[in-house]
Amino acid sequence: MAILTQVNSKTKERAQAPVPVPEPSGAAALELRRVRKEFGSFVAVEDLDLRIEPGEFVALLGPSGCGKTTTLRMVAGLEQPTSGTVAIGGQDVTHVRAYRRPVNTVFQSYALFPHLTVAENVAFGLRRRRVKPLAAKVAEALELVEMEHLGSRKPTQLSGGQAQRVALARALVNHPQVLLLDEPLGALDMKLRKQMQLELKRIQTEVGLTFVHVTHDQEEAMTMADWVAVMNKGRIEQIGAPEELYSRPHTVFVANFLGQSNLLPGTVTGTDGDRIVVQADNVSLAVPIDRAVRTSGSVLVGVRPEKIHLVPVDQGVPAGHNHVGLGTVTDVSFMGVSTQYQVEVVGLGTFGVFTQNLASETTVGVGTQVNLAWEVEHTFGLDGDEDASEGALDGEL
Amino acid sequence: MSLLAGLGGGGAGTAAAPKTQARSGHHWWLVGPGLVYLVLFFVLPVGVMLVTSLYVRQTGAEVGDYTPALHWQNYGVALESFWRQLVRSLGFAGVATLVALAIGYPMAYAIAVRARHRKLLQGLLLVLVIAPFFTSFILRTIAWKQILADDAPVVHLLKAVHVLPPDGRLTATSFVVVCGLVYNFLPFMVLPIYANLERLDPRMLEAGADLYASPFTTFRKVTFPLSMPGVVSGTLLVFIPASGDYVNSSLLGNPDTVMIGQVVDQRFTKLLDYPTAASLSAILMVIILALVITYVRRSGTEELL
Ligand SMILES: Nc1ncnc2c1ncn2[C@@H]1O[C@H](COP(=O)(O)OP(=O)(O)O)[C@@H](O)[C@H]1O
Ligand SMILES: [Mg+2]
Repeated sequence: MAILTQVNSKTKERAQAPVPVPEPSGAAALELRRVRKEFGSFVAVEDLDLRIEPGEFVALLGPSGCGKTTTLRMVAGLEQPTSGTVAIGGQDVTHVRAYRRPVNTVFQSYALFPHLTVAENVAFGLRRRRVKPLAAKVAEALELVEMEHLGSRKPTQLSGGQAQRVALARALVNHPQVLLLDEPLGALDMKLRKQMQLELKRIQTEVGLTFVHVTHDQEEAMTMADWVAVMNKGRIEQIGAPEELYSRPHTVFVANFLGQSNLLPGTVTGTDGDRIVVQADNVSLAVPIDRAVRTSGSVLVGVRPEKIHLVPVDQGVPAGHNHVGLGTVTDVSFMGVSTQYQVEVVGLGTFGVFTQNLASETTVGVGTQVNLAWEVEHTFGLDGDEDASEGALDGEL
Repeated sequence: MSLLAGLGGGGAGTAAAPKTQARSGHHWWLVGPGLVYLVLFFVLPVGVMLVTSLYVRQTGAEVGDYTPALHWQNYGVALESFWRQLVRSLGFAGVATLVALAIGYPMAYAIAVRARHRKLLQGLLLVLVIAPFFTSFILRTIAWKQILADDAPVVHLLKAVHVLPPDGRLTATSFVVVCGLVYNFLPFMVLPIYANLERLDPRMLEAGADLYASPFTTFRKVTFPLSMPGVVSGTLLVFIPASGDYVNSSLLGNPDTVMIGQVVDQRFTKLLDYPTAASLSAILMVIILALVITYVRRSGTEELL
């Protein structure tokens, strides 16, 4: 427990820094240095750097095919990197074979041994290392995942959720220095997935192990992880705490893949105190300098849909806001707690806007003219040479 | 091949199996042709054999002329006269099965797992395993007799390198009879094991490696147990026909290597001693059945029964 609180305070400290700079003190639970994996001429993982401290819960988030599984397999020793080094607990294990590495994996397909009972599956790793007392440790692990009553079943007699728990227990029981989870909840239905997300987080806190959790579900990554590393095309685009990544994305891909973003192309025309001034079509927008990845030339001005206010034409736009002028509501979808609007602004394109359905808010109908405005502090600036649709899902915004 | 594959897969424990069983409930007529076949060519002949085994020869009757009776003493006489050949047959068949397993398992493993990503090579190797079947069983055994004959190059070579003593020979020994059995029945070992290993999930091996098992331990604790259904069907497909075989010991053996199949053949076709031939067959059948049931039970692959 003492270790856990220590880890948590460290996490908080680092979360406040704008960019997480790894502290060189002490051995990292896992450290990848310029790890690269090529399959023939195809580069699956490109010069990846990653440092994870003991006790952290890190999510590797990215779309299907971006190299997440390959990265995990290189950590587990099931795949040999083309170049670069892998260190676990300060030990270089790049050339150590899988069965000698102090890591365990919860496989995407669970890969439970069909000829062994649930209890024997869990005992497998312990037996190989002759860990005692075997029965007590197996029972403890099964209890942790609430499967103690099914120890004598065969894997074919389990439901998907149960198999998932057994796979987790089989890995956890070995107390690996790093536990690797490859989309462990991918095969579960929505409700079970939500429940298991909370449970996984509880178990991680309880046992204090280092978790590397691979997922393509941004919501899952954000709810569970201390840190999220967003991967795209074999590279890590940005690492940070979930709130940090969400409020201050560094690339178009991160801005679009984690939640949704409105991105406006523009050109920097000057500075105003701690802000840059950007001309986008015929409106002038301000971006805080510490929230912009570049301060000159062409940029993309970004804002999250829920940060935008719809201001009725007869009301003034408050001070300290970016104001893009008048737009026409083209679509309204009622989503229960919130309403999503599409608002078209001539010269700038269509904005996505989310509003909370609070008692005080009045809904706006299609065709209504409104002013769009948001606080300058909620604006971020990206590299204008990037493709503004990178990482966006079709049919959204 | 499909029969072998079916046998090999019987115990793989796929989750889908129980469902198909439950659904086939009202298709009993499909069993019809098989049932008729079994009754005509298995139940009836076995019945006739059992009845014949109890016949008795009246004093003064001609050779080959027997009267229906319940002369169960035939069994005692047959056992007493031929227990050596019976034990020898089971011994030869057992050794041949073990040797075939020792040779056949690595073959099946190489074809199924090592050549997994080279389909052409895999197909070629499989054809090589089956190729001997394209020529007659008897012909191939006679060929071995000539290859291993006393004045053939193989024996000369073995004598030259002092593997065989100057007066040593290969034909007419138990060793060669067992070799013949192994050679002739090897494909029956390889194919079911191949069919089983071919579907071995490579992720099982990765899970083994992930859980601290060396490649050898992974083989012992994961691959081999998972291939047990294939091993059981392979060993049965070799042991059962090998224990009743009479071709190999007739062609490659000597009077000291006589197997029970030869005795039955001789009693039946040469001496016209039908009751003894029938009772020996019945004894062999019961012994094999008992051995097979015990074996399958103990290896935990009841699905095959
Ligand atoms: N053994 C392999 N041979 C060739 N290409 C591979 C192999 N494994 C993965 N890849 C390719 O590498 C890329 C990354 O795969 P993967 O790491 O599984 O992605 P993810 O887990 O993020 O979905 C994919 O384009 C995939 O096709
Ligand atoms: Mg994957």
